Amino acid sequence: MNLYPANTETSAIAVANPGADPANITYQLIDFNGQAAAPPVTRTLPAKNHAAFFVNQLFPGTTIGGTLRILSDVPIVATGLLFHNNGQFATFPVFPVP
Amino acid sequence: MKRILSVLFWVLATAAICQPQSIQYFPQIAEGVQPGGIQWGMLIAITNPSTTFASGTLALMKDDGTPFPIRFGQGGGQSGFENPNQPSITFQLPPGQTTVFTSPGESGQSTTSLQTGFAMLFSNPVPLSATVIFSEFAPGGRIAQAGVLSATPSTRQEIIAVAPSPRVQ
Repeated sequence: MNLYPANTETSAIAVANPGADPANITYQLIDFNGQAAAPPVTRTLPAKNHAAFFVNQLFPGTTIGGTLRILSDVPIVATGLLFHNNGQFATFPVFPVP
Repeated sequence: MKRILSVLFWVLATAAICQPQSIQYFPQIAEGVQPGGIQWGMLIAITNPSTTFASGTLALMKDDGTPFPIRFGQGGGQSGFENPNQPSITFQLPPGQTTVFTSPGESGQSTTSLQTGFAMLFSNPVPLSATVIFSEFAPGGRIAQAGVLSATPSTRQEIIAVAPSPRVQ
């Protein structure tokens, strides 16, 4: 099953902090085997702010797929984005982590 | 008996007034033209699935948390409205009706530079159902569309991640 033709697509994450306090957000890239694919990255998102990142902006040089886990010290909202290098894109929802 | 009816009236009136406001969040909105001529726009479709008349407010925020004014047009059950470039839209939605707010970029008509942000939909006294549908235009026409449902605030969430490389066999 070919889910992703090589070198043609990349994921991105859009996050928004609707609350009144800044959100300290830790991004963890986890490979298909459930192992950390790179050291985690933490970014702060001020209250009422929005940001979006490509996976390889958060984890430069990464060529590993899997999951991107988003952990925050305050509730935030997020959605997944998928960009094809021909310009097309798709969106997909996040799922909760227990 | 009259006293009981009076008490009942005030209990019901208080309950009606205190109906909780529903809030939905849309983590991504986009409108405008990016370098290279790629244009982004969106429509926001909102429906009232309940049997109760609803009031709603759609609030739009830029990346930096400042208001995001967009000149939406309105279609669906309550067409004819044109938002005068405000960062929030207040509307009424009768039971069962659907309204659609359409940004200029959704029809390839945007004249502003690309800006992104997020949206909040407030409704009272019942929750509304809504989705945002993005459109992307290249100079030759529309090349992609995708929908974003409302998201629930959470401290732990995950997406499938595709870094620009390996093929999944």
